[in-house]
Amino acid sequence: MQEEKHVCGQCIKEFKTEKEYLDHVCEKTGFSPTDPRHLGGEFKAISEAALKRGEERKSA
Amino acid sequence: MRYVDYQSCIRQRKIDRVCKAAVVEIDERNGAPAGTLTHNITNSNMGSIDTFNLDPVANPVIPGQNTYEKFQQIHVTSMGGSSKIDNLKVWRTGALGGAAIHLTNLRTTSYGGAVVYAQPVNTTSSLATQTMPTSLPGSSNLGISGSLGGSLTAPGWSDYDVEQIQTNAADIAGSTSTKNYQYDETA
Repeated sequence: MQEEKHVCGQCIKEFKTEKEYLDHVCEKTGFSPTDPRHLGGEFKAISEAALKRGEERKSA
Repeated sequence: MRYVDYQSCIRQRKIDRVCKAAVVEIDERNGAPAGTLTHNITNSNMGSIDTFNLDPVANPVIPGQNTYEKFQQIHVTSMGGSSKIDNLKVWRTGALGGAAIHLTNLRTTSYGGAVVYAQPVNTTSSLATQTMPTSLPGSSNLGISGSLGGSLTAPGWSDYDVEQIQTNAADIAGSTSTKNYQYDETA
């Protein structure tokens, strides 16, 4: 079995581990993958809608 | 830099939910196992090669043949201030070209459990056997840890969403459609 590799789909940089990927600052977005801004401007609305659905289910 | 920005949000007492929210991306695995996992892909184009973000013009499917399978996952890279991600739903909107069919392992009942990654093939998929939904499913159709009722309470991945498009010999044009993902997040 070959070793797993990780690639950032934005800047196409390769990493040996998931941690290395999560810790890098993407040259394309300017943010690390654990920062919501790495996902672009549309993610804010996606995230808010997901939170709204989750809270509605919790209180149902 | 991130630390400073978050502190700024708090100081202003205008805490944007995104400052505290989970960070969720779509990943795709390609190649021979264990494979290459590409994070935060920019499209789900399907064609005649096994790669992420592929160029469908340069790599079209020959009419009558199948695309290479896609193995994709929802990946939570950070929980932010949230406690749970669950209720994953995936569907396509928009028509396919000709008589092509879009198949997947996604299903809302009789879920087959978590698929083990295998090198994607363009022969008829033994994993993607269900019709891809074309509207929002009524309940979860992609599992976590092998169960549609599963949840993520820490960074991690969903099960694989395996897909393939199978074309007809008379299909001479491709198509563009939209892949939709939905999840619920509990603060």
